[in-house]
Amino acid sequence: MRRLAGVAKRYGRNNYVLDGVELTIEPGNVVGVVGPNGSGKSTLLRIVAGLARPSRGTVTGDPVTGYVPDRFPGAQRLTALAYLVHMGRISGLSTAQARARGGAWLERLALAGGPDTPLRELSKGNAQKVGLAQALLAEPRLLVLDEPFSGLDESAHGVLGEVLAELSAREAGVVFTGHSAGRTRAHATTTLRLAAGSLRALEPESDATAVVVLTGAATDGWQTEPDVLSAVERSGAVELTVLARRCDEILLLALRRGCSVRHVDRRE
Amino acid sequence: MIATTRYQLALLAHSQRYLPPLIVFLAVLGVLYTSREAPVLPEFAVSGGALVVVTCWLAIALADVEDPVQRLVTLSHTGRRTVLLAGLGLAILVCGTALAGVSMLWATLVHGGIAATELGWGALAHAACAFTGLAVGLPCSRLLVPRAGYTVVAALLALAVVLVVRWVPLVNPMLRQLAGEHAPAAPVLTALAASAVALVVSATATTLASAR
Repeated sequence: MRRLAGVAKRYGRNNYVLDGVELTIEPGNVVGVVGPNGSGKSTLLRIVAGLARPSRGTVTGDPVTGYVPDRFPGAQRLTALAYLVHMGRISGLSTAQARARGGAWLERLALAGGPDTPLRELSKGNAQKVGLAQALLAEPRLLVLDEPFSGLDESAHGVLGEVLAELSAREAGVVFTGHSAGRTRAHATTTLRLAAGSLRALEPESDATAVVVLTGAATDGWQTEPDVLSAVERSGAVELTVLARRCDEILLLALRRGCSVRHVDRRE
Repeated sequence: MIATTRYQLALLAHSQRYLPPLIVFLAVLGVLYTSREAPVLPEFAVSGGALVVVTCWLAIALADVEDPVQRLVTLSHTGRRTVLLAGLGLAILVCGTALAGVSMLWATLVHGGIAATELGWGALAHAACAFTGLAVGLPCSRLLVPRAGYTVVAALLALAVVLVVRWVPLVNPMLRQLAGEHAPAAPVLTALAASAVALVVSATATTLASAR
């Protein structure tokens, strides 16, 4: 549905941010892209979403596309629902359709303060929910999300995971970026790494996980750590599933936080 | 396009950034329309000149409401940059039409009625002024100029050139002819055509240059 061939991008006369990117998104594909800050992930996504032109190379395919930026600004006084109705109408929905769909998405994403909260009064996490809702309004065939897991709270992560699975099930394509290889892999059908301006398959060895059981800790602080895949509270202890190659750093962090290590199980 | 224009008008209304230019325009009209006996075409020249400044100001204010990331989201809905910019431009022209309407209504009330031909030439002259103001405002706005200070300097310089320099064939020759109570037909039609061309060129250039 969308194909990038030999895509390169540079701003002005600076060095190329992207160079020789090859990417094909098929219906039902969920493509996760990981890479450090400044590796060009946002630039890549804007090109995938058709919002920026590559300096070189070709982009083909023209599906209905939803785009979620990494930080949804929402500095206007419009209410969340009024904003969604406007965006829906611009995408070609009727006012009634846009209102119904916008309201339903805000309810599903549990927007704090309700649909009539002005955009500028929303917290970062809640603004991000409106950012997600606007992209889903027109039932996109391709959804492009920039760091969708970083701004949302834990309960919205669950909904986002469901949404990605639903889109994939109805043969839409998804491309999203993330910092954590573990979490990205958990939601993607294909995981790629963006490094030195081009895309490569993510090395398979980073798949191995380890289980760490801690006492004297709460689950909430751990779920936001990069490469902690899950944190579950069990009979007074917290069981973390982490990427094996990050196990030692996480143990060190746990000790620094005053936790006690009860058990470590590396499954390599 | 209509949906985009509606959204832009909603942004402008909620932001209240239309207030300063609106107040300035009304103040100009308040000073302008005082005498029942004064000739009306020279008054339209002043009102039109003010409309150039105010439409330019409104275009810059409206383009500043959305930050670049937010505009990218809007672009993902319009699909094409042309539609995005046309919606913004149309919103400003709607405001310009309303302001010209206020000016001509005010003149009609003060003069106790105006000949239909004079009203007609006044309307066309105001249209030319709104086109020119928008044509200056678009490339000076945040769409192309990233810093507010540079925007102010660029817009003031461009407005001064368009309004004051005799050899710029946009609105200056028309405003001078109207102020001198000459026959309005030729200068008004020339200015209308020239400013429409200037607007198309400016909007196209802004669209192309903002697609980086």
